[in-house]
Amino acid sequence: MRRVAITGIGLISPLGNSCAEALTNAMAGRSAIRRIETPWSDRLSAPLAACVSFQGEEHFPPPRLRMLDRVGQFAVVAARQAVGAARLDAATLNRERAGVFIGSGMGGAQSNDEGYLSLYRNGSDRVKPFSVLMGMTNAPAAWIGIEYDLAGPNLTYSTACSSSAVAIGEAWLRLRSGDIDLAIAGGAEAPLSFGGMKAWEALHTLASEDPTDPSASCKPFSADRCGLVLGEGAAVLILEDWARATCRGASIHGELLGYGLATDASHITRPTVAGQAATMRAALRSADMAADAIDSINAHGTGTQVNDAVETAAIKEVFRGRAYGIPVSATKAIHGHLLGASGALELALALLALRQDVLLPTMHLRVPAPDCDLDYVPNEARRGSHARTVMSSSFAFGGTNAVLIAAKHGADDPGSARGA
Amino acid sequence: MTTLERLTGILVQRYKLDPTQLTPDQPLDGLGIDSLGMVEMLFFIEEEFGVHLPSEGVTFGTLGQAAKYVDELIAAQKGSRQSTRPQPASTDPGV
Repeated sequence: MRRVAITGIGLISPLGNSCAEALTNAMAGRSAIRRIETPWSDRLSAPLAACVSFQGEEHFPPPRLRMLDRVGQFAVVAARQAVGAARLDAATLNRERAGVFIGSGMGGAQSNDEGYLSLYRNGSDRVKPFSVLMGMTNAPAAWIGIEYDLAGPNLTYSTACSSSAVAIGEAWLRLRSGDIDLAIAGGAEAPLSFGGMKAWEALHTLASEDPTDPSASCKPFSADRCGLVLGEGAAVLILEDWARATCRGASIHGELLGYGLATDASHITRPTVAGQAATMRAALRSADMAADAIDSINAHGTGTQVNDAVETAAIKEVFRGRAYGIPVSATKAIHGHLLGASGALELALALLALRQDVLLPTMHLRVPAPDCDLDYVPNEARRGSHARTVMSSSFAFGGTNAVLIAAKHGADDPGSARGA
Repeated sequence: MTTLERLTGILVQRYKLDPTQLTPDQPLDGLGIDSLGMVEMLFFIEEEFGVHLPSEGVTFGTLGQAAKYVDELIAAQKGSRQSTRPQPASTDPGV
């Protein structure tokens, strides 16, 4: 089996539109969650979101922009960043052995919402001419493939909140087996339309506004946690055959070591300890790693009562007594829940932080919870960490759980994390 | 403003085309607008002139022919909305 290098990362995120900016904010624990000001904000129970500062006009000419939903704009611009960071030379690529793997839970939700508004409220008998192209879930992946002329697999995964983790994992499988040499993989989400937010509100999973600090409304693993806050953005990685990457002298951020995929198969929303634990074990098996080789965990950590308790129990089941000694970070507290894009963003942030010898904090963890008693790196980043490996978890409505394992690339060989 | 001028305005505003290029005998397929761009242009024409174009697709030829088509459509839809519509050629976005 071949090794898989991560040679580029692109981020369009509530924490910033570059790796450097997003990492700085994540390490400082600066929350991007805000009260949103829209014509329909007062019709939301809690008008909170983590928005991206982004103007499509700065990145696309008008005729192209008219074909792109916000989710596609995020994805393409994040991919451009990643390709640039990886210093890929299109001329040296075998285009048929390079693919695109993108996850998105809600696809072109904003375009669909606008279409409904036009038809049902405004009484129009027509919608924008490119409504289909903007709304289709595979549009972001397709546009990335077109932009870079990649003729290998072009796949979109829609497994709710694990979509981009699945996309990265499925790309990893094809790279590892030798089917392809390079993948642009990640996720994008733009769910912050009125319809999108009301739909999530109806499920009673959204956090209420913190009375003293709206930016602290999402409180993973805290006893007073009350739900998630929606976010938007995209995170895209360049995954590359290790030998190819080293041969061309690429700067390697890290190695993708493992990918576990398992399903709860019990309830459409309620997670299970067994399902999450099975996914973590599957990731360890795929990486040929013992649980002891995991130095840190990037939790799914949504800030809902159920997820955080179940995830804590699942970590204990897999890591046993050592669970209390593994730092667990939950960054949704500050960038919100990017749904299908969250797995990619969180893996990227965790890896970038590890390269700085930092463990990211779980912010707003003020009240210890009896059912969440691990080391969550509360409220302050931990510097001088010796952690090299991270397990990044994404658990989804529908029960499709995905766990990725990565190692930073340093002086010592990340491959040595394997074994036992 | 004539229909031709209004069509020219759409092309300049939406597609950033050079107005000096937009003569009546200019073939629309020579403007660098692809099949999807032409589909979009039908939408803009409907907006601008308040007409309904046939759903099965339209091809215009030159800019002058497009203006003539739109004029005929406006006249036809002032009378019977359905019966005397000019027969379109095919537009296929390639789906």
